[in-house]
Amino acid sequence: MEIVFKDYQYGDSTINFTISLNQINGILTNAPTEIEDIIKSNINCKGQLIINEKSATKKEYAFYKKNIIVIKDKLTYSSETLYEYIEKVMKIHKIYPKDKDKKIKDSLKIVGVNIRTLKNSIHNLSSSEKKLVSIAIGLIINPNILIIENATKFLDLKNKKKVIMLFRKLVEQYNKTIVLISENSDELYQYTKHIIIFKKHKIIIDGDTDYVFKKVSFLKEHNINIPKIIDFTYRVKKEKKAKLEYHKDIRDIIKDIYKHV
Amino acid sequence: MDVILNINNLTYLNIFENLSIYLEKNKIITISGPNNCGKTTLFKILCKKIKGNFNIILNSKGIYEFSDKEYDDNIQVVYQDEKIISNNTVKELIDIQQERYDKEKVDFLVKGLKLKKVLNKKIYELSDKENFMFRIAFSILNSKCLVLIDDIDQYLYQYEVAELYSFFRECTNKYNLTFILTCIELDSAIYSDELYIINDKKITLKGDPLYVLSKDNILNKIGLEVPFIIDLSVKLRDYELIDKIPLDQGELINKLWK
Repeated sequence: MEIVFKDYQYGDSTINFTISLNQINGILTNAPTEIEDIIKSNINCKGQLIINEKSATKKEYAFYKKNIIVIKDKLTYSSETLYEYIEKVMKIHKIYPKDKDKKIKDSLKIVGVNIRTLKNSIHNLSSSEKKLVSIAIGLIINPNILIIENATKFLDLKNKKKVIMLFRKLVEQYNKTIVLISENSDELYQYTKHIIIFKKHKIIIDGDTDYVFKKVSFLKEHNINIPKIIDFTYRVKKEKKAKLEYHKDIRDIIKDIYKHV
Repeated sequence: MDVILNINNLTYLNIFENLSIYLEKNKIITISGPNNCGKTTLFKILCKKIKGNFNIILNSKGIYEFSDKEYDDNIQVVYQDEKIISNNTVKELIDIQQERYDKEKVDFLVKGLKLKKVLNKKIYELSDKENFMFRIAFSILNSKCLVLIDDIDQYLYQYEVAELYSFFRECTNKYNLTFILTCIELDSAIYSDELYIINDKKITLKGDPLYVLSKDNILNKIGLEVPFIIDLSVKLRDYELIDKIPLDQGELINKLWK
């Protein structure tokens, strides 16, 4: 299942790309707002939206637009308390649960933010708390498609793992579609199944993540950041003609080196 | 050893317990640690935003013995989200205080921090990254001694952080400055003179960055990622495939396939 963005006009460019539904997708770019505008089908981006091989009807298009949110890089600077901020976002999205407090606290607990921070003003939260809170707000809004900018930036290893586990759970158990937008190719290589590489208003490549990142020469030609683990293997293969395979886990590459050195 | 900053047995709430740090003059020090370990809190204590009965010595003088003006002249902090808000352009803001600033230093910072193209931009028009670089420039201009930068990697690519470290190195020599930087990603910490890891209220590891980064088990356990090439090298050394940890990919490949 997929959504195809066909002949989308953006500036002077016409672009085509696909988002796989019920999967973790990645978009490698340093211009997140541009690609977000296209995915959200904002007013200045027009094109044909194809859902499951059929052109979207007006009703489907409206449903799609209603069920997509973008979680920006960080919460905006604000002096209101976290509770007031979340309340405001819920009003904007017309979310009125039976037990608002419980909904807010449960979402924070899922991402591992202490509920005591609800009384703190936003600008007193740490970078990691702001990042986790923005994901918690995504959970409260509960759309079908979550576009998340730099999902693991500011997070330590434990929080990164927790957040990625959460995304996988959202995909596997709740049929959500996740789109991670980042300029970090290492992260997208590790965590996504499908990747789109977007640069200077153009789609450079769009496809299965493992397949895309193995096209190292092509990516280098376009000055795309190569995941470090791929780049290492590529250089070994090219410079030393050793028959290493591309891996995701450092332990697998060590086994391979042991065999070929 | 010429110590510039001496933090003695710092204890604060449930964040620090008997934490001590001694920093040498004209060095670049990186402080890292898992989320909420107190990196920003430490900066707030150092710039007296958080006050208490702390035994902290800057240049042989207790930090509470300085007047506010004198202290600001010695120590400047760039926080994560703080922004300079002004209707002036970057150039105007520098010109307002031109009597205070050495023109050569301004030119050096504008060039080194790539601010030339934003000089005529209004401050509120600057992107987050430009505002961050501008705040770094202002801190260096205003400090005679110590510059603290929180979350150095927040708006920058890894190669840009590496370039900044190299620029700060020039500043340490040229202007007798000491830099303390915090980060969560350790990739660029290798360029600092010393790396401190804070965890569980205290300093867990400190020393030469390569020594600290080679403690992969400890770092992973507390939630920090070791840069790929060092992680790979440490593990290959454990398998006795190499004897020393190289700093770059090419060197590692040449060691393995001589």
